[in-house]
Amino acid sequence: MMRAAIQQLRAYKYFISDLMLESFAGVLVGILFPHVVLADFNKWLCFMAMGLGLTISIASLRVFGNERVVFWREASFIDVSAYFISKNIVEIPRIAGALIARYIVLLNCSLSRA
Amino acid sequence: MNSFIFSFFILSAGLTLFFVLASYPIVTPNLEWIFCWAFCCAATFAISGFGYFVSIALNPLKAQLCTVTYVLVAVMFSGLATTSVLSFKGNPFFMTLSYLSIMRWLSELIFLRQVYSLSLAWRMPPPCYENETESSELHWLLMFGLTPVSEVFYLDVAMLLLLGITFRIFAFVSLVTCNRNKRGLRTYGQIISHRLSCLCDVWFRKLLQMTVVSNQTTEGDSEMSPIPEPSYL
Repeated sequence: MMRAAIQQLRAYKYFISDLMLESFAGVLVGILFPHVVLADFNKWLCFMAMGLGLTISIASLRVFGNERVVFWREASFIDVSAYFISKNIVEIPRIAGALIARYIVLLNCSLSRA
Repeated sequence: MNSFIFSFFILSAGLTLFFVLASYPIVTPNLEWIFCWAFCCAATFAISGFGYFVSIALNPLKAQLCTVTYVLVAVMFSGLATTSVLSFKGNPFFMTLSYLSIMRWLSELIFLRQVYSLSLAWRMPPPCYENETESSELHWLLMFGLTPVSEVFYLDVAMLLLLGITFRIFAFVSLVTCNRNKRGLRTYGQIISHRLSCLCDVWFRKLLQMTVVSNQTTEGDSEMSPIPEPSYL
């Protein structure tokens, strides 16, 4: 877990770029549906789900995808389950942080009738 | 170590706070954003699990393509497009795809929360309104086939968490089983073929030994040497 945390700290530029990407997606959906009404609510949900799904899933590909070769080399002398669990735990605050940034911006398209 | 992990979490929160402070002045929140954020966290848990799974099992290019395809299919079968809701109702294959769609559970959560946050004036039967598509929440609930019950919140969040855990289990299994040849291990195909060949060898030797014994009993020849056991037994 220590190693995964150090890796995450060193890759803080990726974290910032993830924040910017999420915010950009949030702003984009906000611009498309400003003060969304009930008739457009399903379209807003559709775009929001697509934006969320694409940005988060592409960002999460990096977690294990970038380390495939290193893992193949070191798999014989590390505990695979410990490696997997630690990577999962360390990723949680990054995802939560990126989502906070996204939703603070996304709420600009607040529901006018609420 | 604990202090280091603590500082890591503080740093993550600090980056988030920095971003929130920069973007908050342009926001006028009047939706319960904490629910929206919590539901999306559950969806993110599931989506990131799928990302882990494909990034371990496939090479980077195929993983990206697979992820984009999955997200598009998940949105298609989320039930938000009303025509598709009517078309795949009753078809078990499409219904399974709909149940595996993360977006289906997320959209149900957000839409129902939206319905709950409005006053009763918006929840009257559709004929009560002049324009039901613009005013009646019930009209859209019936259109999407959603269930307006409080327990649905727990059920949908549980489904998202379950999907996330399932994808993570798949990811772990992929981590252990995929690309074994690149880690200097024998692939499962090699292991199975080796086992099968050993099994066939043992079976063939036993068959041969039985033939020899039967020949010995019929001919009375006791000078034939027994077949040696293979080294791997």
